[in-house]
Amino acid sequence: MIQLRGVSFSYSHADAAVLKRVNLNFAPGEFSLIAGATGSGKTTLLKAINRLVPSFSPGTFLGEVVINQIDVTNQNPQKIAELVGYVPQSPDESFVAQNVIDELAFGMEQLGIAPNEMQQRIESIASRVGITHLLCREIATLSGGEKQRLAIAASLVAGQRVLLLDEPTSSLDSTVASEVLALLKELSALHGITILIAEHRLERVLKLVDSMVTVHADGSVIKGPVQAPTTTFVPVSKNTLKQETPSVEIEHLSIEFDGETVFRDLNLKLSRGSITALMGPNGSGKSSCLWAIQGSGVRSAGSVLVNGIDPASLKAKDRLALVAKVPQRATDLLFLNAVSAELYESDAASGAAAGSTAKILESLIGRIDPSLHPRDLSAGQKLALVLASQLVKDAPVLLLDEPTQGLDYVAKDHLANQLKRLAAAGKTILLASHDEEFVSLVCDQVISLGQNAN
Amino acid sequence: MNQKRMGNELHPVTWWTLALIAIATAVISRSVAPLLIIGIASLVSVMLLEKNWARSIRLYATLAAVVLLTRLAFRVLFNFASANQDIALQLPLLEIDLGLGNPVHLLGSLSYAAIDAAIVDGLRLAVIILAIGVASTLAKPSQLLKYTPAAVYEIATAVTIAINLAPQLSTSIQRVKQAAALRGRSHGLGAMRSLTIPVLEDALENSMHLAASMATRGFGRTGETSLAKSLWLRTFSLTSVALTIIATYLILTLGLFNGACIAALTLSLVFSVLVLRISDSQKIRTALNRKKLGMQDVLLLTIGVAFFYAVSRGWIA
Repeated sequence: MIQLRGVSFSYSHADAAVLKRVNLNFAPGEFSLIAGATGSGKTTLLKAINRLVPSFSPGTFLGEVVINQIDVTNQNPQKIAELVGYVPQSPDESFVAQNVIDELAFGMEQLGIAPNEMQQRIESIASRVGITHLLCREIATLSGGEKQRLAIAASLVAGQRVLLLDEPTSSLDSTVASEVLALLKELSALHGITILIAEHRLERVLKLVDSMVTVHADGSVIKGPVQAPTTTFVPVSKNTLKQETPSVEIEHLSIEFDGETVFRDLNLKLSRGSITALMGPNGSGKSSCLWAIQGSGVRSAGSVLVNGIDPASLKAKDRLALVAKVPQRATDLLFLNAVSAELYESDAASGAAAGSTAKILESLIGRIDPSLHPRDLSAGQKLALVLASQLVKDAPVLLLDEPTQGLDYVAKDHLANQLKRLAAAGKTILLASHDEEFVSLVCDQVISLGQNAN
Repeated sequence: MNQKRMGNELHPVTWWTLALIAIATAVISRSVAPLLIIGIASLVSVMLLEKNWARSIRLYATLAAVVLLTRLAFRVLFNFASANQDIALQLPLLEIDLGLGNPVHLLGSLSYAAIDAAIVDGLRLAVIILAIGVASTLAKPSQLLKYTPAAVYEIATAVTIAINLAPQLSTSIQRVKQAAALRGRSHGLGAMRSLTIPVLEDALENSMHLAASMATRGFGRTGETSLAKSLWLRTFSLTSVALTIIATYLILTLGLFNGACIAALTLSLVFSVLVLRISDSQKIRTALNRKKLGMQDVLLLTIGVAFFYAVSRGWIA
């Protein structure tokens, strides 16, 4: 169904090849996993198949791509839209329309499919993917899982036989993620659709797929039997610093937006040196809860005390010495054009001695070339840089919002070890996450939000 | 959740044409009455046809009110009353000498005529804003896409998506602002940079993602056009543009009701229609649920045109 022959690709801004002489073959109906570290080229491999690489990312492309016996090497993505469906990393950024029907029709309208046939195809794909009941909804009102289903339906509705997905479950909680994966399995097994899926969280996918492709950092790509990767997690001994005096006390915390309750009456005590996870489905208020504790978010009722002080009563600047926070998109904090500039800015903004942030960064992840542009760092390095710039303020409490998003196994192991060391040094850590594996590895206690919705 | 609205019964093109007629009428009207009629009609239609009218029209209504009040305030502040007018309000005249020749006059006596002119001026802008607001509430700009001719489809899509992304930009500014406060510098050039760079990065990245995803679904396909056809297309569109420019020049110099003007305008229209026809015949795109103009659409449009004519003749004043 899909053949890659001698495919090599290097981006025009880098010397090293992302893909080097790749030869791959996928049979019709094959369900295959693309694995590899962050930045290794999983996305590039997928995009090479539907020709977004090189038409949207300039670079040097060599080799041949054949889909369904058609040589598509010299085509652009528009021309092969009826052959390949593509679900990019976050479906939210890829929706074109405001409501479900129009979104499903968009691709077919581009391909010139007759209106009465469109209606039929929409109905048939909707029932296959399980979104028939959503057809007259607005996209903004859908949940994360429903959006993912819609994105899958929209990329298969014109009769595509190949489906490429880039980390389709990375922002879904585990129940919804396994439902989406089961759907993909069904599409490949029952309907013969060839599916390639790039994923970080292998344990969910491994038992479903027929084959596994590993993209290595040197650009080589090898297809082989399905096997679990070896993790290198080093257990840190349980810390002894844990004291019974709570450093964060939350009482009767409630949050509502526009008169709608997000959650109500949260009571929580976090002791010094503990790591706590805040879990719950999308929209259950994890992020709002962290902002409320940090002091700049809204609280409709309740109190938060950090070492006896309410952060909301302090000025924004003074809060930073009490509570450190890494927001969901850590890169929002990076805005300078070199790591060294970021480090300098961080020292200056927090009044720390020159080099303090660099020292913390090194203890977290080792040395990073200070002349690099922050954008060129890996996801794990970016997170470490932001974490260091927050830790330099020496706040006793650290809040992290979805810290594992976009991290591969190795980077996650790093982060787990970093957090354990910080806790052992006496920091109180609260993280919002829907990554059960990570939470079970790192956290001492788990708080679930979202049961009291409605 | 059934989101059918009564507004959907009418063709989206009707709503936008009505809005254009309302704007044209507002521009030519010289008194309060027609403007009030348009304003009230807009508000009533959105109240009747949209369930969440208060929320959707709030932004436009506020903007309209601000424009009206600003216009009035400016009139009071920078007032040039002539001697022989009825004076409504006697305010102290301030004379400020900036050392730039004549002193600047502020406030002073305010005549009825001046207030009247300011109200008409302000209302005109307010009504234009309201008309656009009502049209975009009742018929989302994206609904118009289905009816755009093939020749301008790509541009129209880009515009609609840009309009849709505007609210996204404001949420991303909010998010980055909140995050930037965590770095501890809240003022100065650094603060400006810490806000703009992530937001711009965000906006660029989002639009690239969207463009890529649209391409993978076939957006931007071109049919197989013969060389002769595309040559004709190019010639016709250039001719049409040239004629439009000539017509504009003639209107500005000779006035609208002149033989040469009308001829140039008609010719340029003919060529534009030709261009649209030829590019439509490539037939590479289809549309789901494309509506046809109904009786009620024709009726409403006729009323709109009649109203415009009445105002232009000065029958409603």
